[in-house]
Amino acid sequence: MTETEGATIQQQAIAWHVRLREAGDEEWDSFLLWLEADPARSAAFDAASRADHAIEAAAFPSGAANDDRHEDGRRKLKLHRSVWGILAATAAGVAALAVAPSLLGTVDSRYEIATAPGQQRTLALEDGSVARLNGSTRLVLDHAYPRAVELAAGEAVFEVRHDAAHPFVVTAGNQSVTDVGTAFNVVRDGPRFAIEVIEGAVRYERRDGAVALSAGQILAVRGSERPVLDRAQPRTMAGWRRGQLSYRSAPISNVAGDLTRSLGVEVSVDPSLAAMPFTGSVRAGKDAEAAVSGFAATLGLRARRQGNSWRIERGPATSG
Amino acid sequence: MTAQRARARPIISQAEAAHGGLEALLVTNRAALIRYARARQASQEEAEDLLQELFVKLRTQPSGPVASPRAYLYRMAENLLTDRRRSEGRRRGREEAWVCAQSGDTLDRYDAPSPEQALIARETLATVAAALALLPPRTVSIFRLYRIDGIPRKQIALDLGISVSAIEKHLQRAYQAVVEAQARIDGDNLERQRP
Repeated sequence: MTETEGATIQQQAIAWHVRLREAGDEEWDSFLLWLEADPARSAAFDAASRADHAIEAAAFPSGAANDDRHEDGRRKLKLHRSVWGILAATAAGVAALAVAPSLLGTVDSRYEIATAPGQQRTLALEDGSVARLNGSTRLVLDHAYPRAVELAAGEAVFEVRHDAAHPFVVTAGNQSVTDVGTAFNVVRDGPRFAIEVIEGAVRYERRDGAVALSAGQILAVRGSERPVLDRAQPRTMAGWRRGQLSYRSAPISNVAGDLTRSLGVEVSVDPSLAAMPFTGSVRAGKDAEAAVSGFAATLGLRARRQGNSWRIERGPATSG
Repeated sequence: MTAQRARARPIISQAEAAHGGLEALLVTNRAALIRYARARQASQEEAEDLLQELFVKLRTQPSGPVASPRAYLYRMAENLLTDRRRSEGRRRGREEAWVCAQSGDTLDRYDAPSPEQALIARETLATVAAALALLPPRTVSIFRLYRIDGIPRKQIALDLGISVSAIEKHLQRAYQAVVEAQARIDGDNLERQRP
């Protein structure tokens, strides 16, 4: 690229922004070299991108509202037959600029959906799949990529519409669950991550490996430890949907986390007890007191209430 | 009944990972894309997250033939980067509003702007629109032809009977006006936040 005499960094950045729209491999390589010469250039390029976004939203509110996109996320552009017709129309259009109600949401493709503690929701996703969210759950979606969902936190069942050409991918940090058309439950609670395959098959992947899972299989992993596989009847999976949580040798900290999510009340466990294994079922209906104290009693532990929080600790099972 | 420990799985071979032509290219160009993200001032961690996101997004798309594959990947990386930055800005703004508003009864949290953000957005839009209205109509039209209608610069130049560099000057002017308007708005917003 020929550097214009005296062109400021901002002007150079704008020039690059314009050229990159039509650029091939070599120009992108050159752009990378331009960026690397001075860290300040990246910010100037950001300013050009922001300007681009703002101009689109400000000057062309109806044209900019279309959601058709190419694979790389770029908006699909409509070609007009007559350049001159456009010029005439646009000249009038600039004079009558309508201020769009919000810059946000018309040209951006990413969006989030979240539930409050104890709140459950079922969503119809754009691609025809269904997501059933447990409480305290946050999904990050993108209109440009309707078959990709990030599970930022919480728990959901995904009933994926079958489409062999477009795999459905749920991500959680550096982990992914890929699926062509099936139903599975997935939970993410800090370092804890688990998949229950209810129907069909999925592929769990991480940087260091991958494993295929089919209906009836469970995968559980903590942080970057090696995943652990298990089996269960599909009809017992995603028990939170029926208010019946089932466990096999699960640390009670997991149960506490699930109760928190499903009941909408904070349930914690004395750290010295957190790893204690539990096998059995817990009813997690609307009555939080019954659920938590019942669970504690099963283990010979106590459930102590503090306002709207519960703590499971050593002590007599009967409440004081 | 004991849980089975997953046997040690081999790391996916490059061939296995690349079930689409573009995924294979992503594997080959991994270092270059990380370098690009770093040059765009992303941290090493952010760069690796971005690459992960690229893999996922490519996987959900059909992989047809692409004219300039490396350019395609760089463009995709740039779009994801910009999207993330914009989302982060909005989330930070929304979380601040969330805390300030203390709205405990608001259950659903969509990616919708708070009233404060909507107001700022409207004002920004009005200021940017005003800046554009000061430009010659032809400049705005050329922007539209290039940016919205996707007509190549060479074609616009031919149709209007002017040079490509004249087209580029018009585009430069439009962007520069808005960059300056936004810099003023940012300055004003900072002033507003001071107690």
